[in-house]
Amino acid sequence: MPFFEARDVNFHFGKHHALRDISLAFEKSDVLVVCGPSGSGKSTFIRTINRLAGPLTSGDIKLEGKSLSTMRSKELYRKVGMVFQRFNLFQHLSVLDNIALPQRRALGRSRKEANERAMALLERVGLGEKAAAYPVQLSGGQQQRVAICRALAMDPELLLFDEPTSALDPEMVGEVLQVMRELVTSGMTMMVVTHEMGFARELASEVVFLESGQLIEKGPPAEFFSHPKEARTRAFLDQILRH
Amino acid sequence: MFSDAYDLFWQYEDTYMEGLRNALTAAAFGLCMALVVGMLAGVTRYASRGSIIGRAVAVYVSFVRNTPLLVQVYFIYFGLPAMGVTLSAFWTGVIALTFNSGAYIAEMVRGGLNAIPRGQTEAAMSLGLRQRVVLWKVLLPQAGPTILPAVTGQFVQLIKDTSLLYTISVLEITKAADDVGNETYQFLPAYMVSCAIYVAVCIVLNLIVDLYESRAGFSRHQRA
Repeated sequence: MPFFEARDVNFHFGKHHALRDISLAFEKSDVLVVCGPSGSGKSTFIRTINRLAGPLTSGDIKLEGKSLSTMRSKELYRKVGMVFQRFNLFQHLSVLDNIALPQRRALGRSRKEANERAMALLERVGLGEKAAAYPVQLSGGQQQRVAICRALAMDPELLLFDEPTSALDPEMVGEVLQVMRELVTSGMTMMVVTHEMGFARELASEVVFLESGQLIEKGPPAEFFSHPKEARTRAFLDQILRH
Repeated sequence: MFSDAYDLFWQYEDTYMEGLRNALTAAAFGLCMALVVGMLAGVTRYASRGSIIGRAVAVYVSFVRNTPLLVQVYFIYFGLPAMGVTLSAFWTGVIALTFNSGAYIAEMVRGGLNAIPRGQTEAAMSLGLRQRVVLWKVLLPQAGPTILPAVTGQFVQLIKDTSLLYTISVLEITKAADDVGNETYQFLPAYMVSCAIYVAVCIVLNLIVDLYESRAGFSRHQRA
């Protein structure tokens, strides 16, 4: 039984058939990178996993053999964390409270415990001295590192990244990728929607290419990048790697 | 004419002051209760669109917004006794004001909540926060700074609306003027006094609202 398994997933936005028969599986500590042109359904796919997109039309997604569509929200969100393109930090809370509040409210941790955990994570991403700052006072890269801490503090078994560097200025992409690189090293199971092909090549255990809601090709990065089988994958890679 | 009004005010100071006191008290009670009603109604309308209770709130809001306040005052003044509830004219008036303002505040609350980017709810949900926690700990604190100035503005509106309680014989500012007019046959000066009282009170309140808005300086809450 694979750690994560999606089988024949179909999803509609109204009449639009956004995901078509997507099946894939991976194991614990794997890093799955999902790429594809915009509108290909990659964000939609990742958002169906934690139900942000709405219920599937058909098919099933399972985590450790348990169907996510019937799992209780409490269990689902405890197992699956998410990092967003636009960070989505709570604007009215300090950095520390952004990370501590969900721990207290969703996991029932004490204030002391939650704060300690938050501080430890902030130190780990090099933002210890920003604990009292508010999100607006931080750069995009710093905000995204805080958002990663916030997701990590919940001890998820699977962490989803929805284009975590796409909203960042180029000079800040590196600091976020560095944090993600360390997460990979620490054995975190991750599913990453991204255009950062360097990250995919270096750290993915498998790369998946989606187009028009279909899974076109998947494979380990060495193969995927040097010998793409499908013409559409080659066209996409040509375009994205040209600059 | 102005000196007539001035003399009249000092002559009937007690009547006018009691009117002012009643108007302010009714508006203050009305606002406090309307805040509770409006908050609950607004949150319900935001959070449970489509449910029976959400629809009931929508009907309430639309009833209030599409009928004159005077009609609502009569509706409550004659409606409550019909349901077996007898209250003094003053409290009937307070309830009418609450009923009316609650609907407007509900719309302010709903508007404030709607203005918060969807990502905030998505992030909160993906962290496993329950809907109630999302509302009270994530969304409302951020909507607060946009809702509050409008709500304080509603207080000024309430003061002016107390004039309609005159129709159910609550001694507020307009009734005071009318009583004085009836006694002295100097209607114009009597109403000029009440007019001056409304202007004075409302200008002061508006100044306080402005001061509050500039002081609050919502920098912490501004979005990047």
